[in-house]
Amino acid sequence: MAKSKLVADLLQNWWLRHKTSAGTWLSLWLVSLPIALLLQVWAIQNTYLSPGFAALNPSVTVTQIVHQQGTAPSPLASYLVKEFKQRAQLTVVYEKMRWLKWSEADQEHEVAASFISGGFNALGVKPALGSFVAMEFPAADTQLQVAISYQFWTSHFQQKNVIGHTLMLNGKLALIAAVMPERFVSFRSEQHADLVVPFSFLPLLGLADADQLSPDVFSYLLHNSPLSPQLAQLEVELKNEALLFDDESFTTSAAFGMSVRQFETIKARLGLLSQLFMGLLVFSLLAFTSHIASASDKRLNEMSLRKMLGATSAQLGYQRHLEMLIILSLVLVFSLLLFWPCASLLGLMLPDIPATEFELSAAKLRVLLQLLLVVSLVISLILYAQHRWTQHSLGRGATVSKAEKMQTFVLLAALFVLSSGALTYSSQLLLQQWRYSQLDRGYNTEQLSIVTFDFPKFGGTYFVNKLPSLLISNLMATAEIQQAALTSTPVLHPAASYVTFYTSTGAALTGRNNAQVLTNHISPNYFELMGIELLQGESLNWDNYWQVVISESLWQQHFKDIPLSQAQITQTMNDGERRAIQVVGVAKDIHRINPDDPVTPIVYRVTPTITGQEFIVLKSTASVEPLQQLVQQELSKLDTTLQNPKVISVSDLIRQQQAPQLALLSTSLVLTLVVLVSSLLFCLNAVSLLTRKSARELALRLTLGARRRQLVLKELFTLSVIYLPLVLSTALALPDWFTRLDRIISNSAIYLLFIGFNLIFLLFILVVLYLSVRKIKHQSWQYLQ
Amino acid sequence: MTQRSELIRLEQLCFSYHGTEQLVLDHLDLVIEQQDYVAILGTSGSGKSTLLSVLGLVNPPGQGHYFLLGHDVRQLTDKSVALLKNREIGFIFQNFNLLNHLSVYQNLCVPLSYNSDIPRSMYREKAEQVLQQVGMLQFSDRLPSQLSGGQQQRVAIARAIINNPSLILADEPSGNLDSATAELIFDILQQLNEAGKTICLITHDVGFATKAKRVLRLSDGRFISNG
Ligand SMILES: Nc1ncnc2c1ncn2[C@@H]1O[C@H](COP(=O)(O)OP(=O)(O)O)[C@@H](O)[C@H]1O
Ligand SMILES: [Mg+2]
Repeated sequence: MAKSKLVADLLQNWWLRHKTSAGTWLSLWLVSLPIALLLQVWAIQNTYLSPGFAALNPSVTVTQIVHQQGTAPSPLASYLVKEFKQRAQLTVVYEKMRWLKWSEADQEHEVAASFISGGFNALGVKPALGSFVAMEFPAADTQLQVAISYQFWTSHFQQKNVIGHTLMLNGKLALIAAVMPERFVSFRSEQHADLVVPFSFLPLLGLADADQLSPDVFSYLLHNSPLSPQLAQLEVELKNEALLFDDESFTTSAAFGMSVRQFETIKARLGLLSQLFMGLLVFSLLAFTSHIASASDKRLNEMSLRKMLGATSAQLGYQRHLEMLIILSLVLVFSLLLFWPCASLLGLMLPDIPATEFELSAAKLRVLLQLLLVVSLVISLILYAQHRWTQHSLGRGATVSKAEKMQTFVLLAALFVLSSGALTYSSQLLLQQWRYSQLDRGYNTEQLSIVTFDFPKFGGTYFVNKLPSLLISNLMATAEIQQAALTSTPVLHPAASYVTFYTSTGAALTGRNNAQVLTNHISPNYFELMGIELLQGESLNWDNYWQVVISESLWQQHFKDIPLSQAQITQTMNDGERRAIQVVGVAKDIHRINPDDPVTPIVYRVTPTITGQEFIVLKSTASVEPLQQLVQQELSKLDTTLQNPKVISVSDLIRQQQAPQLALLSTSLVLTLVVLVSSLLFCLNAVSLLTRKSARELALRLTLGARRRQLVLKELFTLSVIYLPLVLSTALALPDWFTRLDRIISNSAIYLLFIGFNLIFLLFILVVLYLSVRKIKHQSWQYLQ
Repeated sequence: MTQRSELIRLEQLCFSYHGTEQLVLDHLDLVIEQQDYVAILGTSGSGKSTLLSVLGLVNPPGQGHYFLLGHDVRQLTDKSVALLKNREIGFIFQNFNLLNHLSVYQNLCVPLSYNSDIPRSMYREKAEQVLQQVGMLQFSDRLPSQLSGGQQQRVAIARAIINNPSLILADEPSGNLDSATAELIFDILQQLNEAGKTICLITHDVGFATKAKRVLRLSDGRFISNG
């Protein structure tokens, strides 16, 4: 009873004391942010870098094994698998993804199949229905048995019992042996499988020949004991028996369901980020500690008052523990609150990883709790040390020792130099990003989409007909599409074809030293749609294939001094004949891929027919999905063999293009923010603690005739003696660290910014010092009594 | 008798601490002339120390007027207040208020360092002169913690007079000392007064108060008799 009353009293007391303390809340959020970011990184590591992503729960260790031949990685060949089995009793599992044709009635569907040799039991996959027994390493000449995904089961079989039913896959009859568990998505990251098929049936399904061990096959070892000693011994044995050449070796990796290189990239990036966030955590803990130190120094009076009012030291200890608990719980709550917002932040920082739904599994919860435990321990330690320290420095108010002051100043200087560096870096990045966004690509990207589609190829046959113009006019007739055009070389896309042309003087028409020039087969309205200005002449027309429009840079290089009507180029035909082509127009240059790349010299020519190499470009305000349906409709109206249109908006492409820069920018902004706020907080607390601890000396000096200004300048001088050399030496090293950016930014701008930021910080310190001394002055009598 | 000029004049002076209503000094009138020796007696909490803090320009006066050397204190700039504190006022505290990390000599240099009229080369000479006056010359390199209470107070007195102020304010200078040592301190004060310093002394010891030329009694922020 009494205890709960005490708790309520202390809680209320804490709340009253801290509710308006901006410093407390800021430092709590500040500590929580890196924790939340770390939690996210670890959640991603858990999701991507462990088999857990595929709802597996392996009872053995799963290790991807790569057979390295020189620099070329490949899966483990079957002759090696045999040796692994015989010599080391190691089970090898193959995995790969392929599309299969599933015929149902007279319809044919494409289904995604995950081929896996077996090992369901060891991987910890439990069927929702049926059994995997027949799918564990079956021989190729047995009955083909497959498992279907839970989704496939629900959507095609309405969850009837399908075990024992058959499917027609690539013309072969397959028996359904099992339904995969509901949470199973795939054995490969970022892909989903409709079917799971034993690997040994690849030849039966007509997919085996050369592909069987293509580089997209992943091979895994399932094992219980550590692998490396066994593997090293195997390598020696196999080399002795000439089964393995000298430049061949085995490398292993924890990567499951993804290529080792991708795995290593993500792992390295995540490792770097977690180190970075660890660093940030240290900074924010520093700021946090300084705040606690300053706050508890202010509270010494309250503590001694409570003691005088009869609080036992047990009760005071109780209060301390309770406050520790409050702080820890708040950090926990704040970290969890920040956890989800941090997911989108990390999405920006890690563009290679698509955002995932984070599910709180038991394993992840464990990681989460472990991290929080570590942080709690650290914070508790800090609070404890803090308590000890204030107890020992009870003779306060006299003066701080020189060492203490130096320590604080060195830390302060280091923090502010670091903040200035981070600020300089971020501002340079921002500037670079802004300049980049201001660059003119030479065409209008607004409302622009690019459509790819499949076109059945029949050898080298061309159909010269009105198909392209019909397709364009049909598309433009719809209400949703404002404009449509064809192009063989779309912007922001790697597809490109090159052709050799000559000028009338016999020189190769080219912008570079390469003899070929990028040729874009377009519909005549392409320029209008793209907003590419025609500087001279006119656009192409459907009926004349022997006309071209060339880009400005080509014109400047080859035809600058002649009238347009005399500008001609030639093309050598297959039979050796040279045909003349009239230049009818000059189009403004564009930056086809990157706005900061040099302009691309382009020859534009009309597309006489749809050959399957074309892309449609659209101007439309409609979003991607309705557009896709619309294009599908129009395509199949025209010709049922034109299939599978995929619409990508150009703004998405630009976003993808910018993702790495954005990742760098967002990372550096987060870093800057945390370091900056930590430094400011630390400065406020440390200076106020320093002045409060030397209050008596300051008060005495003021009474003996010192002016505030003199006292402040004296401290500032001491600080500057430490700070300025640090600033200057860091400034000198700075351009080296910023080499990534030197394409745009000058060294002098970096010096200027860096030193400018530091001067602002020095000014900030000055103001804080001045205010603290002023506060002492107003109470100086009290300190002298 | 020579014409003495007025050093301090209080007219209806009041003072309250920041954020409180209580008038700690309640409409005080007082004149202290040059070379006067005034002792202020009063019970604890009567406002003696507060009065001293206002006289010493540590706390700003509230209502009423305080003239120091003819200047209305309220009109003074920060700079002239600092200057007056440095040159015209010497403080002696009950708890000495020496800086423990500085030697005796360095403690004496603190007020000198804020006095631009005295070049650094004169510091040693000045310090030795005042230490001689309080009989502490041989201790100039000691730290305060290596001195007895009475010795520390003598150093504090030396610090108070090093800039040759006209006014010395002493707040219970013997409060922390035994009576024999206290005697010594009051002797020094007596000598200082004879040498021309104006002294304003707070004490609870009526015996020592009688050494002063005038005794004032303060109660609840008011003088109850003028002696
Ligand atoms: N810093 C302060 N803030 C508020 N009140 C104070 C402060 N110092 C003293 N007082 C109050 O002013 C009154 C006079 O105090 P003080 O001048 O120290 O008395 P004395 O020196 O005569 O013992 C007391 O009532 C005391 O409570
Ligand atoms: Mg007092």
